[in-house]
Amino acid sequence: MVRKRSKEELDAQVRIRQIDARASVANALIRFAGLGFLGFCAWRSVAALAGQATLASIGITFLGNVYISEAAAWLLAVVSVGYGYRQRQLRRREIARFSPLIREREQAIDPKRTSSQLTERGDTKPEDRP
Amino acid sequence: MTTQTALTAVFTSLSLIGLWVLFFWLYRDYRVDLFRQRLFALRDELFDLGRTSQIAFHHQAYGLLRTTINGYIRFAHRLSFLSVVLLLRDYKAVMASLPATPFGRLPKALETVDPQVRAQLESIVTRMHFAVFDQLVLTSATMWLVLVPVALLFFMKAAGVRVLALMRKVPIWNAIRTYTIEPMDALARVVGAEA
Repeated sequence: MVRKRSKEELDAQVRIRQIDARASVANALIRFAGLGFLGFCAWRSVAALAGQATLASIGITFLGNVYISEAAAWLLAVVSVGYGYRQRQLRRREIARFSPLIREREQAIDPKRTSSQLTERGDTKPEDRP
Repeated sequence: MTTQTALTAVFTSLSLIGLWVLFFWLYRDYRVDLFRQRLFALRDELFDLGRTSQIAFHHQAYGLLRTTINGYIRFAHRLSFLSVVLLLRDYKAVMASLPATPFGRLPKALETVDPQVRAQLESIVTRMHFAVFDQLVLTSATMWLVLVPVALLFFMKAAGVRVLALMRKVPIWNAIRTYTIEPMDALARVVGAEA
């Protein structure tokens, strides 16, 4: 049964939701403004090449200046991100496998056990996302 | 601008975009998972106190602490330096609506527990607050750029919990707790108590 909340509790929740919404908007602005600025820098760099060089000459310049160490560093960065992503997927699958067992065992001991409201995989619930 | 210089600028921009995405999306997601993992471990420790009958599951201190931890776990993805700044800005208005609710009573509830168990509960509370502090500092770009020299990182890893325990004995701790920790805990409990 869902507990009936008092007016004060509801007021507090509304106020906190408002603060949270403002913080979410500001955080999203910072994230995307930075990304936009860097994208603009990349675009300006590409624009600087327009009319000066053909794709072929760019390719030759690029290949002529690629060092094995730089290529390896780029490869390492991409592979590392992929590795981290796969490990994370694996971890989520394991959480999904074990969390129902833990919940059942804890509920047998404490029938009124409360939950953190995450999904079975340990993710944020869709309705809790900003 | 020569072709070579322009190409360097393109690749520098792409690398910076990659770093930006890494910090603001991938690293942040990792930190949220790490924070939740730490709090799940603390919640398990709390559950073990109840399982071994050191504290009743229906005791108010158990319920409030578990609800606070649940709130932080659920609210982890929204916990940021900026949200704390905004919360502190509206501190008076938020706190004015909280004392009448059951969310602001953890310190009082802890006083009603057996001293030996209270020490264990306070240890959980201290480590929970350290995890929150760690999360706030290490997910904020401002903190990374301005306030976090590498030495501080090493210091936190080595002596963080002990320093926080020492801080609790300093008189100014009450002010720190009143104006920073209690509003955060109250906020976590509000979110944690939502059905």
